[in-house]
Amino acid sequence: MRIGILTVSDLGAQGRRADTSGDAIAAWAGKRGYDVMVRSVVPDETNLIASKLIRWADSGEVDVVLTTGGTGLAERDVTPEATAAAIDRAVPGIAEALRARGAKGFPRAWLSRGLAGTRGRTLIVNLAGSPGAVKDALPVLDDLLDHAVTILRGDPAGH
Amino acid sequence: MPDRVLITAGDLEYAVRINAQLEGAGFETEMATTADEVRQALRRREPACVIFTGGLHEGSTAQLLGQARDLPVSTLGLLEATEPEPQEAAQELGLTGYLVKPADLAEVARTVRRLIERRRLQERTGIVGESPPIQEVLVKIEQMAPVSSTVLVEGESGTGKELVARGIHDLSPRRGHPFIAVNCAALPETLLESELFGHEKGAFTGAAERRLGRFELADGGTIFLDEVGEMPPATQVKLLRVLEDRTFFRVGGTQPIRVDVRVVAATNRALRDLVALGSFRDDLYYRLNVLSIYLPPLRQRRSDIPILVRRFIAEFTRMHDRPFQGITPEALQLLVDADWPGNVRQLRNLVESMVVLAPAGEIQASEIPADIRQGIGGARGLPMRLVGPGQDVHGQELQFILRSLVELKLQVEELRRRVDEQPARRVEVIEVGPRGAIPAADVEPASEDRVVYRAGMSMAAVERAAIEAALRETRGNRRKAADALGIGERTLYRKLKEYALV
Repeated sequence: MRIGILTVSDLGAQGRRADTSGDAIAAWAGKRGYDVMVRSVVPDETNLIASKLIRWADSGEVDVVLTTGGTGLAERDVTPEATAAAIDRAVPGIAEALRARGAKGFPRAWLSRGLAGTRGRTLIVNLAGSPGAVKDALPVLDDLLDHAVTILRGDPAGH
Repeated sequence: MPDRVLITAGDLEYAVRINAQLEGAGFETEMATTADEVRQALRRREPACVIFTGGLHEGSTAQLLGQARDLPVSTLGLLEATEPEPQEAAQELGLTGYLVKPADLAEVARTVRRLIERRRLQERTGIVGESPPIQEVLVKIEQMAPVSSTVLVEGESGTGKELVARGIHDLSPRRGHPFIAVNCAALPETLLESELFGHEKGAFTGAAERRLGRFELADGGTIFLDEVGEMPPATQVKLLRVLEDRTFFRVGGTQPIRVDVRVVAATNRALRDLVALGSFRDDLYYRLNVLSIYLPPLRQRRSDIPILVRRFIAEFTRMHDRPFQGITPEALQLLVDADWPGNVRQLRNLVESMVVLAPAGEIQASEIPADIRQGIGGARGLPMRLVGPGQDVHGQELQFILRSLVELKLQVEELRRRVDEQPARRVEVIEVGPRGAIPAADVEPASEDRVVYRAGMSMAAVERAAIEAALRETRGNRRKAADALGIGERTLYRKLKEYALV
């Protein structure tokens, strides 16, 4: 499986904050034998986030894009809006599962507005920004990504 | 299935006659002689409407109305002819409708039907409120849904423009077909066109496959173009063509594509002003503005705030499985008085975070964040109006304007006082018009964040000067400068290029 990791953070994009969450996703992908094809850090700007998602998906080079950051209620948090602009179809269940899992130990996870959806044959999933939230989210994806990607690729063996 | 109507026997003789009339009109009716029977029926969520024929000022009625308020049920009160201010009484009681006795029986039946339909529309669209401006919006949605004409929805951000668009789609014959939303401001100029119209394989670097655009995906259904005022000029031309003959080309394509799509466009800024400024094509504006709906900001329909707050609390306590939380009257009053620049969306987000984070029990006034409270009563900036054609100024809005004028007067007096106290301070007078032909070298030291009009200056020159001043003030931060100028960031970029400021 080919993964893209997009970290959304104003400070990260200025090089003023280490991309701990992006690193955690990359480590998880490595452990599961996934290839991280592209990785980038962008500031909290709708245009920049949407462009990256669209370019990566349309290039056909990644099966899954995981974003981290920009899903909260603050004014600068625009990752869900950018994702909504990029996806063709929403997959609300993934986002709900991530929130439900996160909220078990941390009720504020309910305030994450993250989305999940597909663009063409690429699945895009928003994760919250904190390393803790990412750590909670990845096991949920363990069970879902392989099957989702098999179906998106149109591989009949997946059915 | 016929709608069920529950009739209280407060005025028994009238209730019996209404019962017969409604049965004749095809409703399934039931008489309730005690408050407890009404309570039970409401709990079972049976009736679509409850008619209170008497005893409206009794405590038990108030309780029942409180219970009904949070359910998808209409309440019709029949007020005594002696009621001094029937409309205010109905509002205070929280009735969704009222008639004054002796109301004609056919009128009662018509009102019941109208109230039930209105309530259903609110449930379907999620557009909640009893204030006259929001009722007007609902009526327009109903009227506009069946046809295919283009609709322009205007309203500040967070007022629910997408809900309106979805409502129009859901009530229209297109409801079985796709509803596709595109936020024109969320995509960079280079990508917007291929998103809307699609592209052929190899049309540009990275176009690995043919991709259908949103217009093609919306075929047979509705496309919602949000923040259409942010659309770059080149894309505006293409949109105009789609609206004129329903055809377009994919990027890199040579075959015209024909689609049957209804367009609902939305903007949070007065599109007419953008036309006047030259950043939006007037021919496109007239094509979009065939039918229009104006969504009032929340501060102009404060009477809906308690209804919205109750609804959001119920929604989020259920969603997050939190113990039931009410809100204290003081806290509610703070929410009613706040300014809500982010409108219903801001209110909804705030209620959600309070439900999730509040320790338990009722939401207290002390839990309302300071920035919400600070907004109260302070008219920040000048009054801005975004009013659809033919709308009157009334109620809250008039109050708002008057309050702003009074504040302005006070500020002018304060200024005058300061000037009088310090006669030595230099007062600059900026001349306007042909008399004030100031030599260019004399004005505008580089640090001056002020735009001076000089005779002979064109609109473009004034605009350029304003942009330069805004950029100086924000130390070159383009996003902040765009905010300060009240234009989109992309519009600013375009103008920077246009005036060769980059």
